Amino acid sequence: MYSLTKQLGEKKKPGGLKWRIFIQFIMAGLIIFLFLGGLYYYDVKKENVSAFLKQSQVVVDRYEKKLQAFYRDEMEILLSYYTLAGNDMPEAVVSLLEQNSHYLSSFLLDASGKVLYASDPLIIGYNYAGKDVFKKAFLSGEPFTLTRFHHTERRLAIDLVIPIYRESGSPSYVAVHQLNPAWLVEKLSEEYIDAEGEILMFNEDGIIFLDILNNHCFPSGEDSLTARLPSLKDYGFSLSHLQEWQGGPRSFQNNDYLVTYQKMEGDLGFIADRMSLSVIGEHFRNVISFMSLGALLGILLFGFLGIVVARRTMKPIYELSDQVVEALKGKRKFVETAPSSELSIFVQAFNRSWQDNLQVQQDLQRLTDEYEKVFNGTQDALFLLEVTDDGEFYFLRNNLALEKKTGILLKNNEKKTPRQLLGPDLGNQVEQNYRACVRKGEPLSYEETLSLPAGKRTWVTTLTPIFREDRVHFLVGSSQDITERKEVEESLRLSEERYRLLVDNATEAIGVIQDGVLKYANPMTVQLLGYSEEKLLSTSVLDFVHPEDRESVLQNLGKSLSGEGGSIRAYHRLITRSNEIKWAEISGVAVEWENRPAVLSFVNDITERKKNQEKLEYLSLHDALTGLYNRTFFDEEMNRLTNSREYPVTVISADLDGLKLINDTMGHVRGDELIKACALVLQKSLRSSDILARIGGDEFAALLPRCEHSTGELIARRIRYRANLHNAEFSGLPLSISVGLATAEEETISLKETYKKADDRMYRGKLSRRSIVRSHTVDILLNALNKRDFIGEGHGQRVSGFCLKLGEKLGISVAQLIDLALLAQVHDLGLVGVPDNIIFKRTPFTAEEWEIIKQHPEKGHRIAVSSPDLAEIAGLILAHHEWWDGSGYPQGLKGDEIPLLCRILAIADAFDVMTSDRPYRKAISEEEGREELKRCAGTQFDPALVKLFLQD
Amino acid sequence: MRDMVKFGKVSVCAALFTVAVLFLLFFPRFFSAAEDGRMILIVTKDQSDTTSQNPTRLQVAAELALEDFQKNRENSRKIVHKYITYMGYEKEGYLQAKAFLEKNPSVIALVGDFNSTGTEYTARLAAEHQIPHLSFFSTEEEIFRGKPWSFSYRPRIQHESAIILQILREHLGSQKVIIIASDQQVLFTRAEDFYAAGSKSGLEIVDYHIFPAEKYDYREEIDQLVTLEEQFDSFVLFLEVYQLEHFLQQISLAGLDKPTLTTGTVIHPDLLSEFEGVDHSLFAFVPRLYLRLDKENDLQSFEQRYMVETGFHRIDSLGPWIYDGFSTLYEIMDGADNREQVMEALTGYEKEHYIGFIGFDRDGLMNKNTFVPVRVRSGKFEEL
Repeated sequence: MYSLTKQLGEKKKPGGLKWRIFIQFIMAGLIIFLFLGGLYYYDVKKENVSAFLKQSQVVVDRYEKKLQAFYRDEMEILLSYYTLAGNDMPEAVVSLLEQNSHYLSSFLLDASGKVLYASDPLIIGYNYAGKDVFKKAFLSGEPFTLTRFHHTERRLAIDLVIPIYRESGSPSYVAVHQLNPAWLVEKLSEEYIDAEGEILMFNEDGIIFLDILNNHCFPSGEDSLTARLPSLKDYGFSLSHLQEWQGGPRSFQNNDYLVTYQKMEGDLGFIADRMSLSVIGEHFRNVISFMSLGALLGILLFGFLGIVVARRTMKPIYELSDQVVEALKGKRKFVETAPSSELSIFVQAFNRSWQDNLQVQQDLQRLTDEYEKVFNGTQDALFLLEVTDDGEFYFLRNNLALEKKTGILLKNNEKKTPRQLLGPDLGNQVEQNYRACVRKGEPLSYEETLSLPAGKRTWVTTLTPIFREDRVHFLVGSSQDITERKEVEESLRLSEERYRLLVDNATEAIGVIQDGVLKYANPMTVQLLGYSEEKLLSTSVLDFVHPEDRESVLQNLGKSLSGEGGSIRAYHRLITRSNEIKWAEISGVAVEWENRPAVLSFVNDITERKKNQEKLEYLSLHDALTGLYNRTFFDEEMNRLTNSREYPVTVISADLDGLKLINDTMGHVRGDELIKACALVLQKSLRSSDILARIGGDEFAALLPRCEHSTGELIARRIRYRANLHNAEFSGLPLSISVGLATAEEETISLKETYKKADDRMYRGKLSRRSIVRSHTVDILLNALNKRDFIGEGHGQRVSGFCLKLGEKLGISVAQLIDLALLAQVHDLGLVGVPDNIIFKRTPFTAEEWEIIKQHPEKGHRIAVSSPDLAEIAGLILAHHEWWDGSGYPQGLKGDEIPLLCRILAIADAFDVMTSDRPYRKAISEEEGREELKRCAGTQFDPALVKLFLQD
Repeated sequence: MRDMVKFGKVSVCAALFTVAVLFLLFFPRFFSAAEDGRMILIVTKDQSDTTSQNPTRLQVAAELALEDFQKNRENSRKIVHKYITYMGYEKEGYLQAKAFLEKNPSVIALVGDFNSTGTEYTARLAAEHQIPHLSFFSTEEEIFRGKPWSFSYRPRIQHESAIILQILREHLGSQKVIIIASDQQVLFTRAEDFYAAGSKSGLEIVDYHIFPAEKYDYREEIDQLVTLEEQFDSFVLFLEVYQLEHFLQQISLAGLDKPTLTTGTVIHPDLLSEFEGVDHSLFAFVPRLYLRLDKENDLQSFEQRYMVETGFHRIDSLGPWIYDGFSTLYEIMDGADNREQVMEALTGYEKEHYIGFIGFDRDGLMNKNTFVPVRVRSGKFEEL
């Protein structure tokens, strides 16, 4: 009432209704114009859709005609070929057309359906009597086109089929030319016929073949055997559309597309024109702009109407409100208006209400008296504070209990501030709470201990803010004396704090479990499990335990509760909030919690300890390089399986061939790669239940429980098969694995003996093909030599040419010429062991690098000795860097001590190196090379051979 | 004036009412009462860009099965499907399904996944949450052993090997065979299983060839086989379908007139016309479904609806097979209110279905062979 009177007194007139009327007019205008616009839009869209459908029917029809004409033309051309060739030479025509890119393939069938001639020679002789093309050709006797899907090869076939007659009656041959769909779609897409959207072709089964405007045919690409075909659904069709087709072009519309389709004559399938509705929408974008303008005009028109109506309606309301203000100020007893006015009812109501108001004021006085009695009769100290605009507090009123309990005498309505009444310190202290209450604007309860004239007392005070004009104007305070109760609570708090200090700072997770739920959890428990305390205390403890450990945890909880065996200690897995599994050492003891039995649990996180233990266990039983089991585990398993129920047990012994040679020459890194590849091949070949171990550097063994000898052989075969697969993929570092196996059929046979037998068999096999194994390894090295190509493109070939030329001039034997050619190819075999960063270095070698380089004749010699193919020239490889004057390496041979073939090679090799580009320098001319040979004759080279080499 | 205000209010109310009606019409799923129904959670990897077309085919068949089942049971409690389709690693599907299960206790059965790794994860989920799990795809039997909540509806490889042996013995009287296999994983595994089963049963495997999946020209190998003609009496083929036609044509050309038995995993009614002319001695085994497609009205009706829904031209064994499997699950759920009851019902289930006789052994694997031996003649399957 206070604020209303004030508002009216300032003659503020209510304006909300005016604006509401105005806004409602605008909204009505908007709705009407949107409705009319929508109707117009719908009508225009309908017209556009109808226009598109008409246009697309024409397009579909024209495309079909185009296609029919296209096939007809192709067929006529083919027929003219056959006519020209005469019926006796159909093979010649098929052969002729092989070159034509129009056709994917062509073939000629005889009267029995056999393929007489075909562009793909593989199918000559095939029996196609059951194929549709053959059956239909004999049935109709006329040329025809057949569009079909080749199910087994998952590709489209557009067959142009021509029966050929030698004599009247049945055809003697049937020629089939399969049109290339890619060529067809390209051709058709060039024939643009004023079409929008997509032109699609599909057969009666709904297989989509061609998307003409997008120049695409299905299936396509290398993945045509595995990629899925587009479905009718992908293109917005349903199979029922095709099944319901009854003739002529048909159209339908779904959420996204407008589609027109029709069946083509013959067996050509369906053709369709599909257009996205969004594309059609582009055509009437102007309509949408026009509608938007209309809606805007509607808003303006109705907005103007709203203003006029609101002003006329509000005038009598403003006059009446002036009278009401006067009545409230006591200048009038009643308000008046014309009896016929629409506001007369409101005026009568106001007058009646005003009389009622006077009565209310009397009632209010009576209530105030009653309130005074209650105010002064209560035992709590009550007080009323005024809050001024500048934030000062003034005591306005207090009850008798306040005076009695505090010893402060305060005259009501004397208006003192707390500082004036209580002194500056205490006054500031109590004012802080008053300010907090004003700031919050909500009731505030707090405890305070104050030294007052009646003594030091503790109070619980509640302040209640009273608002006026959106600001706190008064605070009502109610204080209860709780001094005695606080003293008891304080002594309890100190006691609890001591215990809590111990538990909260414990490094163990401590909790109390009752009825399967945690009733208490210390901070360490929260930290360990990662859940909030609230979640921990409302969830079953078993939810934090690994499912496999839940049963044993339950048992241990039961034992702890019953007190059986005192404190129980066990190891279990816990699941944290982040789903991490943690190992924990858990002990529990029976206690009483809130007068009921419970378990006090202590949990230590031992995950790290457990991990270390598991890691140690793993390392003790596994091979670090391959991750397979090691010898120790293999032996343990062999003991475990001996005399077990797992018989028959097959044991496989496998050995990686040539590992030492690879390690010596290509380094241990490549050797390790080979071991890992071998392990992988073995692992993939074995069953999941088999036990595979690496029991030595290049030795592997496997135990195959419940495996008969025949199955073991199958697995050994699988190992060889997979090794071959690996070699096909990684030809640079191929695998060769020797495998032996033996089976212990009965429990009486020792597995150790069986393993020995398998190992013997493996070695026997290895010995019998030792030379193959070695050659195989040397092949790997030569392959690596070629791949690195560190000498230069064609170096080996050129050196070989120079050597043979010089050898022929010398008249050496054919056997020596063969050795010389081989030496020219492989003399640098030892370089495979030299790192790439030295081989390909662009600056001169350092002394250390030279030392490494100079080892290559000896390395090459070692490799060659182990290969039957190269053993003959091993000595030559060793000596190919010796100098005529004895300053070469590695043996320092001189003059005729150096084998003749090495002296020839030295000249040819040096000449080619000088006259070819190197990584670190450009080639010199042949003339300069010849001069250099002359200069070094007698020191590096045999002078007689140099002379012979330089003769034309 | 009052009328104008009233008009404004009525306009606003009408607009709001229209919006509410449209919302109800277009988004009824927000108001469907799933909470009182029982839910089947279907966890599947998205392979929709491959020929497998999964999970589209599974979803279409499952929804049709549910529609048919609920047609005449308006008063029974609702069954709801929830699909979790994931891409990438199988663990992703497992984690999504696990999160869903933790929030939805109304799930009383699990179905999934399309491969062995995914199926292993789903079986793990079933064990962790103690929910019955039905798998349609994985042939890895170890996944189901020792897991009482998991069941496999997939015909078993060992049943395939057994029926090949049965055809060889009982219908062809064959003792010596040559195995020709593709190195494609699915076929290679079956060839290996048959090799082991055949060797164990005393069948003589005269020769065993494994070819790359893309090989079509076998003439060189067939020339060698001709020299062995007297030493074997039939072929057992584990070849891709596009390899099969070439092989049949080429042995026919080489005059190797031996009965030929092909694995049923590649052969299909729609493809038979391609073999006509060279099918005079071609044998195979197929799911009983294939022989029923033309005869059973329900299957014909399903076939039509399935093709319309998937948008693909041909029926395949997977559609009716999934339909059959889901129908079995609903039938069981009709008499079971919770996970334990569904599990118990599956354990003791034994009934003839379109696919064949359905029952599970103690490992949750199919205990009866659902294949039928057939001969392919004139583009049709004839039961032997």
